[in-house]
Amino acid sequence: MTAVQHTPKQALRRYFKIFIPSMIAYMFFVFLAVRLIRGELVTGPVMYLVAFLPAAAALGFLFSWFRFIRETDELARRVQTEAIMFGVGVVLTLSLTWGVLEMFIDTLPRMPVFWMFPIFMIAQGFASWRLSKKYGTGFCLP
Amino acid sequence: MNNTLKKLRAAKGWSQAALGDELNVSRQTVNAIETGRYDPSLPLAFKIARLFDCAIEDVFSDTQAPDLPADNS
Repeated sequence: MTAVQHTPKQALRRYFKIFIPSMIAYMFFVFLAVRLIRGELVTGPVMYLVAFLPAAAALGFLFSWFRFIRETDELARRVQTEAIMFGVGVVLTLSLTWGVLEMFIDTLPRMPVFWMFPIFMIAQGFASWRLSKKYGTGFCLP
Repeated sequence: MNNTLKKLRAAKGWSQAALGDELNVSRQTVNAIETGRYDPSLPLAFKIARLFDCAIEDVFSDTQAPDLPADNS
């Protein structure tokens, strides 16, 4: 299968076309899920479906990101790849360290797994910004 | 690595954006290569050399001194 060639500008446009609606959907679904589940307005299978909705929106966003990395030029790809590795490193360090402590210290507060995705996004966003400065690319994605 | 991309581009009278369009990379990538912040991949280096109708060595040069053989005397 031959991939369709896109210019970096087209890749960026295609990225935002999905990124913006999926992030709006993500925020809306998080709000909705918290309201419905906390208020015990949904139970059973519907509750699981409502809980899945933010993840579904996040998957849409991840798809746009994945496609952008495939379609953009090599420098933007490098910036994104390095930023993702930084984000993974932060989440890995945090979850493993806290996870080990949680296993042995009963009084330690439980870290909600929900925060792993936002923490990853913040960490990779920071790295993306720093790397953009390093390479003088002047843009920061996602 | 050092490169003469800026000079070659100026000789053609192209902007960074125009060169980026020719190479199918962003203006920022052209700028990063010209300022030495980013060394392009081999395929992109070939593409650049072909665009200016010259050899890769005419565009890019290694600034590091070559390793000298160990002196065993």
